[in-house]
Amino acid sequence: MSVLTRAAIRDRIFKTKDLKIKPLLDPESQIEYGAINLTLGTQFILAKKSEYPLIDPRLLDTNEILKFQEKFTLAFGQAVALHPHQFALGATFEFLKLPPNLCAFVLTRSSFGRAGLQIATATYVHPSWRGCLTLELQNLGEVPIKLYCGSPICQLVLVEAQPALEEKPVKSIPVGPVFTDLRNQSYWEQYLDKFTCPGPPEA
Amino acid sequence: MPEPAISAEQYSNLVRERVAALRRLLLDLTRKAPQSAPHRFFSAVRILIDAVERVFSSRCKAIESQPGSKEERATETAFAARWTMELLNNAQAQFFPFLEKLDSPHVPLWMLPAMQRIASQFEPNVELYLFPTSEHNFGFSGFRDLLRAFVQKFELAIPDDLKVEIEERAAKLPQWFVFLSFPYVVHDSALHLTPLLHELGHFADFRLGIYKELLPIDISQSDAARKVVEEICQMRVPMGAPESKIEGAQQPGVEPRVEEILQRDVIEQQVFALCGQIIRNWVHELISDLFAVRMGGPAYFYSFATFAANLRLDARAGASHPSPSMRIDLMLKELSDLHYSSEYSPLQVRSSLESWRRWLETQPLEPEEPPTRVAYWAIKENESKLVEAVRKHTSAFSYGTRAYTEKVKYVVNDLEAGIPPIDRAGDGEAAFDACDLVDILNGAWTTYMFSPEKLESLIECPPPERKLRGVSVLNELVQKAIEASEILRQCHKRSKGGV
Repeated sequence: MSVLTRAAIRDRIFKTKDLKIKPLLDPESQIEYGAINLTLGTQFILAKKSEYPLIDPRLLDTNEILKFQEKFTLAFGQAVALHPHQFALGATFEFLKLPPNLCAFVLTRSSFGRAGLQIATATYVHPSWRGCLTLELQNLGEVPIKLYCGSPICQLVLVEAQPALEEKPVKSIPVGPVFTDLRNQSYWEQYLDKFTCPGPPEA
Repeated sequence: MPEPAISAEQYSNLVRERVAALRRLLLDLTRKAPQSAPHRFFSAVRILIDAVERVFSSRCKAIESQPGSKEERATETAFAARWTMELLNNAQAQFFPFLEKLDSPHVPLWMLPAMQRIASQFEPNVELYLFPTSEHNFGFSGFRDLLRAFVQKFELAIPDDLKVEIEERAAKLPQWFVFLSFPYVVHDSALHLTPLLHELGHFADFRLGIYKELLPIDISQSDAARKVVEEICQMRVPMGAPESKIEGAQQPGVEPRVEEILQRDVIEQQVFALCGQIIRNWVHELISDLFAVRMGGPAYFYSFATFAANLRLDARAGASHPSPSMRIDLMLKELSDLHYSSEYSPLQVRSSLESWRRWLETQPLEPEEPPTRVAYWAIKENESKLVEAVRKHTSAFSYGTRAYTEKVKYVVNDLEAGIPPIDRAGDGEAAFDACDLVDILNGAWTTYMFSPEKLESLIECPPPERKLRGVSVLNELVQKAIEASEILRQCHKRSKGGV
C-alpha cells in the first residue's frame, strides 16, 4: 500500500487514463507532490433548522429527509458564506472515477483548515467509486468564511489498493452533494434489535 | 367645465403612490433575487421607473408655469397623470413577470454559461437568463436598448438633462436582455431542455434580421388566399334568429352570404391581414427551427420530436405555430442537406430519420383551416428562400455528419461508462479539450435513443425502475458535463490570453 506521488498521479490521469478526474481546470497547480487539489462545486444543501426535530437513523424516512433540506445552486465563481459552527453539504466540482486498484482519502487543505474550515469527516473513498464527492463543510472558527465555488478547498490523497476490486453496479452516480442515507443502510438495525431494551409490558 | 370625478391633485398623488409601490416591489424582488439574477436588468427597470417619475414631475412643473386658467391646467395635469399611469402599468406588465421567477431554485444555472456563449456569437453585448414557467411551451423575449428605446419613444417629453443621464446609465447596460423560458417540468432534464436552441434561434433571427429577407410575403396573388376569400364570401351568416327559426335555417338559403353584407375588398383586407400575421409568426418559428437544427444537428430534431409527442404529434397548425408535421418535414430536409441521410451518417441516425420520413407520409401536411392553409402555401412557395437565408447565417457552425461522427462517439463512450463527457484528449500529452454543448447534447440523445442499456447496467436497481433511473442518471451526467465543460473552456480561453 503506497501513496501516489505527482508523477504517478499524472501517469494514471494522462497516460493509462484509468484514473478520471474531470475537469482539471489547471492540472499544473492542482496536481501536487503527493495529492491532487479539488475545488468546491456549485451545489449545496443546508439544513432548515426550524423544521429539524432530530435525525434518528431508525425512524428517518428518505422522503422525510427532503423536508429538512434546502438545496441551492450557485454559478461558478459565486460564493456562499459559512457562519461559525454552521454546517452545509457541498460537493467537489471535479467528478472522480477511481480505478479498482486505487482508493483515496479526502482532506481539508491546510490553508482553509487554518481559517477554521473542515470539509470532510467521512474521508475515505472506495476503489472504483465514481461521482462528485460530497463535502461536509463546517466552520469551526469564530468568524464567517466566504467559500467560492471553484476554490481549491480540499485535496485527494490516492493510495494503491491490493488486490484490485471487481467493479459492481452502484446505487447512484452523484454529481452534487448527497444527504445522509442512513435509513437505506439498515442492515445494522436487525443486529441492534437484539440489544434493544423491551418496553413496559402491555396491560 | 364640470368638476372631474378625480381631481388633478388626486391624479398626481396616484402616480406618486404607484411609483413608490413599484419601487418597493422592485426592492423586495431585488432582495430576494439570488446572486445569479439579472441585476443589471433590475437596474434598468429601476432607472426606467425613476425616469417616468421625473418626466411626470417636469411635465407638472411645465403645466404650472404655463398661462391659462386653473381648470385648463388641472385638465392637463390629469391627462399627464393618466399617461404616466399607463406607462407605469405597461412597465409592470412588461418587465415584472421576468423578475418574479428568477429566485426559483429551478433555474438551470448549469446551462446558462453555455447558452450565453452561443448567444454572444450573434451579439457580444447580450445578457441571457433562463426562467421556468408553468406553460408547456418554451419562450423567447428580448429587450433591445431598453433605456434608449424609452428615450426615443418619448423624445419630446423628456428633459435634456434626463436624456443625458439616461444615456450615461444606458451605456453601462447590455444592449440586449434576453429571457428564455422553459416548462418547469423539464428543469432538471438536460435532454428536454435541448429545445432552448430553438429559442436561441429566435434571438439570432431578430438580432441578424433573417426574417427581413423573407417578410413581408405578398399573398395578394396567391391562389390559396383567393380561394379562402371566395369561401368566406360564400359563407352564410347566422342572423341570431330565435331557436325555432334556427331549426328552420337548416333549409339552405335562409341566411345571407358574407359577400351580401360586406364588400369583397373589405373581406380581402381582413383575410390578408389575418393570413399575413400567421405567415409572420410561422416564418419566425421556422427560421428558429432551421437555425436550431443546423446548430444542434440530430439532437435538436430528436428533442423537438419528443417535445411534440409529449403534447400532440398530429396537432393541427395554429395561428402562432405551424403543425409539428410541417416543422418535422422541413427539419428532415435540412438534416438531409447536412448529409444525415447519406452513407456518411451513422446507420442508427439514418434509420431513425427514415422512420420519421415514413411517418410523415401518413400525415396530411396541408392544414384544413383556410387561413393556415394560405400560410402553408405561402411558406411552401418561399421555402427555398427561407432555407437559404438561414444557411447563409449558419454556415460557420452547422453541425454536419463530420462533426457528429468525429465527436459524438467520445461523448457516448463516456456516458455509457457512467462518466460525464466533460473533456476529451487534446493535442498535448497532458491536454484535455473541453467538449462542446452541441457535442454533449448529441451524445446524450444518441445514448438515450440507441444505447441506454450500458449505462443502465451500471446501476443497481430492480428492473422495473432501472430504465427510469437510467434516464435520471443520464440527465445528471449531462448536466454536470454541460456545466463543467463550459467552465473548462473558459479557463482554457483565459490561459491562452482570451477574455
